[in-house]
Amino acid sequence: MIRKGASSNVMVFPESDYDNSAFGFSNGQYTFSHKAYGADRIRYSWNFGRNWTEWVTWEDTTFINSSLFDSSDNFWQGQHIIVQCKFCHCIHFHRR
Amino acid sequence: MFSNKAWQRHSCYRLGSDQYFNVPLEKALLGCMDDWNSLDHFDPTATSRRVFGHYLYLRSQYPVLQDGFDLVQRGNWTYDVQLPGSNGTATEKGLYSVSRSAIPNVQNLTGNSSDQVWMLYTNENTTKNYQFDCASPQWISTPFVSGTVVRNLMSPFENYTLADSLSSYFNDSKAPFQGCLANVSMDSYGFKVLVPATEWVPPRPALTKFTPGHDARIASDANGGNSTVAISIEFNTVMSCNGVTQALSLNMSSSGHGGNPTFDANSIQCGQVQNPDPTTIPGDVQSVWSWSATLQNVPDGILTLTLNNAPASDGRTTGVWPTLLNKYGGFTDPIIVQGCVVDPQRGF
Repeated sequence: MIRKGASSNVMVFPESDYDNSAFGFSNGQYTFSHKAYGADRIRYSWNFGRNWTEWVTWEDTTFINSSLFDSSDNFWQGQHIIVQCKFCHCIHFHRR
Repeated sequence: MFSNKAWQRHSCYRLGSDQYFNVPLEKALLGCMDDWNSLDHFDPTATSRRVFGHYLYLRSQYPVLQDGFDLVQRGNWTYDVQLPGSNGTATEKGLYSVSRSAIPNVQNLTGNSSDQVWMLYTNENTTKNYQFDCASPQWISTPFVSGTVVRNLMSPFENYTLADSLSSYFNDSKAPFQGCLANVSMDSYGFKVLVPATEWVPPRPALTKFTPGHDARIASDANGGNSTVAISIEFNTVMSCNGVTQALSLNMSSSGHGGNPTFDANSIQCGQVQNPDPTTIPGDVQSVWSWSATLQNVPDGILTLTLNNAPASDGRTTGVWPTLLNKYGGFTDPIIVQGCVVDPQRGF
């Protein structure tokens, strides 16, 4: 197994785990632009890991509901998400 | 262990030991600075895994190694030393000899070498030679008859011809005599598993090394968007070049970006390994033969290579053991979950 990718790809370089440029906001819509090519499932948390979304199939851009950031439980300022991704390895064996 | 940064972060031991005198912590002291610790550890070419794979193969070939209950201590050529910090407790060092067989009239084992397997092992940390006159009280006895050629099932697979001893093989005071090993050299912490050469089986064809390395990380922005990756696989046995090419399959996970990599057919090279890596633990084997190629059109992502029953030049195959990654057999397993991206915006 080898992994190839840009230095910002956290699947390849796990130290690249802090990235403001991926989290966008435009016309009232929060977006997250994924860079971890190689992952096939992703999920995110909008409250520092207390709640997570379901694992979903890879998408280049995730659209995030802005109401998630409006909760009165969010005692911090600003918006913050943690994104996780994973790679499910499948091997097929054959008998001849 | 799957790839995880936590293994690395926890890997700088700082406490020392009260119990063990001058314990050689070495790598444990600096592990948090060694990026290897955060890589996937299911490396099919890992030294210890290959050696244990060979043990298991030998057990499958020699019923005595699998099930023989009759363990006989044949002798030891040892002495006691006082190691620093051991508070008067002596440590025995030297050469030991044991043999294994089925318990007669109790066990009935069939198959290769169903009679006796003879083992020599040492806890000396230097290479030592043991040479004793076969007529002396110190002679190295064997479970085999004089004149037998015995062969080591472990690397380097060498032969010894057993000499006459003064001990009658059938306990009737006449020839044939019990076999004597007149001279043997034991490597540091080395061991030998000896059977009659007529019952010897070669090791299974197996991988010995993968380049650029299991779970290697390749930066694609550093090399100008280059989409080629050179790989090589080394083996303990001369393999079929075409056979390896056909047995190797690629599985690319690239999140929908880019296509599937292919071999550059003109880049495939096979041949003898000229300067194999030295072995690092007793029982390990060196590379003999290598297959190399250039992969084209490799997109960013995770590439898994699988070798399925690659044939050796004599037709034997690697079996299911050596796959380049992976692991517990034919099921789907999620192996990598990493905290990926923490991303605050506007404040905090």
